[in-house]
Amino acid sequence: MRSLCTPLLWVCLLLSAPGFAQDGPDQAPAGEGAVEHRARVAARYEFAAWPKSGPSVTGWGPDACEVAGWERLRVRVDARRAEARVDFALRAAESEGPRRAGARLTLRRHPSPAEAREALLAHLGLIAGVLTREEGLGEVAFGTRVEGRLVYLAGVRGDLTYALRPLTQSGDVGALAAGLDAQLRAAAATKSAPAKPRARLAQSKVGAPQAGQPIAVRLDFEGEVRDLALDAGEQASALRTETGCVVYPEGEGPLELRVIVCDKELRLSRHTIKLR
Amino acid sequence: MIRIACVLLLALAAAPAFGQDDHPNQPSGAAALSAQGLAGRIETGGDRDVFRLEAVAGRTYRLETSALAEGMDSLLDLYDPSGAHLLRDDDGAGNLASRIEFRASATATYWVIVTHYDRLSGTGRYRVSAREASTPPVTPATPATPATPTPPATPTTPATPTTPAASVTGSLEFARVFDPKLSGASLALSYRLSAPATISLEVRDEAGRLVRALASGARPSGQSLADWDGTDAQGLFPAPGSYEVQLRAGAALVARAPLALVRVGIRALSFQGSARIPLSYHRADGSATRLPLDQLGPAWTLERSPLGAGCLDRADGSPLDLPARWTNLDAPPRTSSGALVTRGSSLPAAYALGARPQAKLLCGDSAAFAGGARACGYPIPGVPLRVAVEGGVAPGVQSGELLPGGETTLDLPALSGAIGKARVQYRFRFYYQAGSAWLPLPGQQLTDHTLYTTLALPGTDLPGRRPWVAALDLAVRWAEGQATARSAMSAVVRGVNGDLGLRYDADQGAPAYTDGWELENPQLDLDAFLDGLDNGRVVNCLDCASIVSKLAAQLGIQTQIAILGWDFRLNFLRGIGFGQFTSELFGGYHAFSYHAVATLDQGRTIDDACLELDDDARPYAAPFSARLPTGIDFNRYRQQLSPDAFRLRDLGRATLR
Repeated sequence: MRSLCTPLLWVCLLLSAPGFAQDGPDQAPAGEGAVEHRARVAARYEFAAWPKSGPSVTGWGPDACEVAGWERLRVRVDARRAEARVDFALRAAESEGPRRAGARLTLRRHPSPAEAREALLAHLGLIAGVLTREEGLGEVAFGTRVEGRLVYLAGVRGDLTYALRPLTQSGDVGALAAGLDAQLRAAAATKSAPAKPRARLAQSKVGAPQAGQPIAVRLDFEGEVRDLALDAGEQASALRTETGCVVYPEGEGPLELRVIVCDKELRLSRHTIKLR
Repeated sequence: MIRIACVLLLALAAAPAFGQDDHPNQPSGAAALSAQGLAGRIETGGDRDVFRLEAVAGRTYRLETSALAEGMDSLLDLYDPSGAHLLRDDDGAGNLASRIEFRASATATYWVIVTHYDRLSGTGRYRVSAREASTPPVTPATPATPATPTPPATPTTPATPTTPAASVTGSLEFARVFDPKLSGASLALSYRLSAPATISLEVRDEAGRLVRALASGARPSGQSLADWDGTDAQGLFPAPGSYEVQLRAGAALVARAPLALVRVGIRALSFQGSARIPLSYHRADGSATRLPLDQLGPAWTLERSPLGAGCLDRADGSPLDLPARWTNLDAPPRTSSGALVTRGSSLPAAYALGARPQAKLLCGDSAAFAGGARACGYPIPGVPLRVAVEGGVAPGVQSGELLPGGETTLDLPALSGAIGKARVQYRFRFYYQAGSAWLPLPGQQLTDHTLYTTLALPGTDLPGRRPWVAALDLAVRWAEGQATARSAMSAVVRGVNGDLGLRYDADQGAPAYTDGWELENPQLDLDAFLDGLDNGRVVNCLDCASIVSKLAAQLGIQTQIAILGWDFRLNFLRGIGFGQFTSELFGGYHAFSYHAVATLDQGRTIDDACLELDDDARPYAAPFSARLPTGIDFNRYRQQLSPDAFRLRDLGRATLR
């Protein structure tokens, strides 16, 4: 009897092992993950207890970002995301050769302060570790400190979210974060400046469409355009030219050109032009 | 044609008279031809004797030379009243004498010119007559010296005893259609003599002018060889048109054969075929607008000739350079003013495995000659041309008849049966029909391409389902030689893990390239990733999974991002870019709030470029048996990664169709 039971016991054990117990992975019900994840992240970062949103940041843009002790190396603006990536280098004794970036600020403008907060929460949800609250920075900010050095910061002020991280192993963005936040705080307190986009499409003129031929579009803008994004959908490509753009249709049918104009404060104005 | 002929007549009129000339070189003062005929003499090399013929419309006339003497080998040319060249004959009357029969279309003065076949140095005596075709021949009043061939003025001593030229026969063999501007083109001529002789082998144009002397001197009986590079004595390419190769033994013409000089070439090549994968540049300009390569025109094009869009040559007659392969992976070629370059480059192309690539070829329509564009010299009546590609199917089957400026489509040789990137040089050869056979023109045209082979079309989340060249290039580099989704996926995972210098963000696991509201469907900033890892090399699991998924999609691999969670502790692991295994992530917290991986099969197996597992029985302790998880069973993966029973929480959208 004992000799018969032992193999049966082994079979039962094997069948209960993870590799045999199920067909496929141990999976939660479909669609539950995203909802569950947001709830978890909101709870972890005490979203409900975040202080009330402040006003939108106005009259300030990434090109005006000046922080003592840091040199702004380059600013790249992406109209598609209303985003700027700003690289900084620590000011140091004059040195030969190009300066290497020591920190990267990623700044994004959202339609409203409320949406900016949701964006920060979503960003926190993408982090595999857990950040801790950084008091005194932003309306709400979370970061990581390693031996006292601030090595990551994600925060929100008004309708802006930002992430700041050193680009060197021993970097510390604490001072940079404080200087940046002071600027944002000051800008947010200035309510006289208009919140509407400072650049927009004033008029457009569509060249006569001919079958199989590119369509020239003249674009005239008001205000200072910091970046421009063009999207002609899946059925066409749009390329910038000195006077506007050229649209290359790939098929027949209606065609629209969507133009996103980004001003120097990362505010967007969106326009749609019917091409045919 | 009329204009050219008029120019010829004007040139004749302007030519100086040499010494005592019996008949004028120009129409003015030309003697009238009659049935009795006129005696004439070519006194010096290059002399031309012009005669007039008062013709009546509708009547047929026979013009002929006779009584050739003193080395005369006549050429007879007929011009109409406007000066247009109508007809030419060399030896139509036999014994080097010439004969033309024509029906006058107008009652007017026609012009007849007698020259020596050897325009440079030929001299001799002759008679020339014109009579209505029904009129019987008239015996010359003064019999001429018999037309016995005379030896050359300065005969070369033959290497072997010469047989009298009159008894020598000869034959010629060569390709009858020749484009000297094709790559490696050289006309190989084989000629055969029945007996040793002092020969001359020459190419002459339609007007009988010497274009190029190819060989001369004593030759033994049997076969001899010669080559022609297609240039004249000045090293220039003659205009496309009809030419003749002539073989003489002594003064006797022993063989002659027509030669068509053409300019045939591919001006543009577009890749075709059902499994062709259209590509896109991810950064066409400063606004980062994607740009399908198809928008730039054919994949391979010659630059535009200053003589016109269809001309294959520069103004100086040299062929246009073959376009170089465009190797920038990010953006298309541009001019110095920033305009997109639509000609003069070879852009990459891609096909899925098992494809039968095709090429649509656009022929050039003209050639450069004397600073202008001239017709290509074909089509040749009754001699169709075709093109075939080396490695393709049998010549003569591949293309339809080529026409200047026309298009034709060819099947290309099959590509390799695995993912890859290859520099492919196609050798196109042109063929002409001779009877039932298709014979090659000397030379070939080379085209040079970068061709990618992938598994299938990419995913729908890529704009227009076009792989971005830079991303495809990276993925293909890693998956080179793979032929299945499984093996290619593993190769991509290994590439992301080990080839980019990425390092896991051990401080907090923050993303550098991904964003968005849905963990399982993150937005990857592929532009920043391709632009030199612009957001840095410190990444998290979602970055790795997204990069793997997106690059695999370029190869046509259907993947999903799988979200694993929540808040599970970790065994020892070696994060991407780490030198050793650790249990100290996130300052000792050493747990994932979530983890993102890629999967080919809805989570049954896991592909994770972000970390290596300790794949032994004790994953929570040293020693470590490193394993990069590619195609690993979910449960095995879970068991090795964590002491906790985390679950598959969500699956992203599939990225292929």
